[in-house]
Amino acid sequence: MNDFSRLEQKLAKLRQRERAAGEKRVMRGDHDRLLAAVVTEIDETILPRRVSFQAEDGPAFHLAVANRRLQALLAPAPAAEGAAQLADTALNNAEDPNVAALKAVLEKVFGKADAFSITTHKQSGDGFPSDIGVPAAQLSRAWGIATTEGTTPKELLASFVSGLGDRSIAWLRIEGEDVADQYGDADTLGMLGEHAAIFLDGYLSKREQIYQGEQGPACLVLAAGDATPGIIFLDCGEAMAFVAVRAAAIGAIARDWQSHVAI
Amino acid sequence: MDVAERLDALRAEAPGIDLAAFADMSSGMVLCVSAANRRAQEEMDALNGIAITLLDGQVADGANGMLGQVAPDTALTTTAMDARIFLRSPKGGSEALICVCAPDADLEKILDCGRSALAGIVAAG
Repeated sequence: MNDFSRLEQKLAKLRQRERAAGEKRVMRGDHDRLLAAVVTEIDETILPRRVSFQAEDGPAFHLAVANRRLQALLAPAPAAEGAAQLADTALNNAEDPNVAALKAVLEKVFGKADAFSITTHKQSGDGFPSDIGVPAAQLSRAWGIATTEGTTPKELLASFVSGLGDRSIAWLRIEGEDVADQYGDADTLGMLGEHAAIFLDGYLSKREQIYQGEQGPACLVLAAGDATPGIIFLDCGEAMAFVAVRAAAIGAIARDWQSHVAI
Repeated sequence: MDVAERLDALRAEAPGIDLAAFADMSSGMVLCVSAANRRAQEEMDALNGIAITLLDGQVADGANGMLGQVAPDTALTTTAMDARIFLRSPKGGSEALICVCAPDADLEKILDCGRSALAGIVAAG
């Protein structure tokens, strides 16, 4: 995907969901997920912005971002060893030793909290020149972040369900019209297989209504009380999966799916 | 606490909810909305239509066999754009709570808080 098509796709999304100035979002997870979320935020920021990450009753850090580049860690620096030396110092390129130093600082900060709200504001003053900074893609490589770029939706889906382990009761993965793989309790697998076609009849006729034209990996969860397993249906077009889980686990697994397809 | 206050409190308690709405699926009407920005009536109608499809309509019917012949009381959809939660009122009522959330929202927490909020709204009559 070239930069123009990527931008067009992004703008199309922005037209659908305008982000209000100062609107707060939240990133959560372990070090790797948080670091990946920071890079995603940088990748989605085109105009010069001060992007602030704040843990509730915990540490905060602020980044200068423009043109999908990380330009600098901004003051006030977080209380972490090495942070003060980096504050307000422009990052020239991916080989700049401060890029690795900043990763180390962020990892120390992430050791103190696992959830950060994200807000963006215009940069004060003149900011940095627009050609200064490390592009998100180079930053991702420099920080060793695993991305889903180049991974097909089919592979994404397969890696997700196979990673569920005993968090799921059973799952059935379908590619095209074939069952590609399955896992778990035989009775539950039989139930999923028996009712899958009936479910798909209703689902496919209403897919457009449910997701309102949104393309890409989608997830539908249905549950009926705590006594019956909840059903998670993962839809990646030609590849799909039915996953039966304890009803109490539907929220956590749906959130993990979102993280899995977002990185 | 009235319905609007309960929806506002839900959004304050569980971060990541862009919109919370209380709807009556039998009449197809959204009765109360809490959102950061004013939303078009067409959007509310569309959300209520999705709630009906998932909890009472064609998708619910199709999932009946997988859910032990019981209609769903919880539906959740996610895309790269957002996550949406649809909760039916306790004891199989026709009222529903609808939440439109950020794609990375804490869905576990919103499900828990949403069920409590809906129970409170229904109990208050």
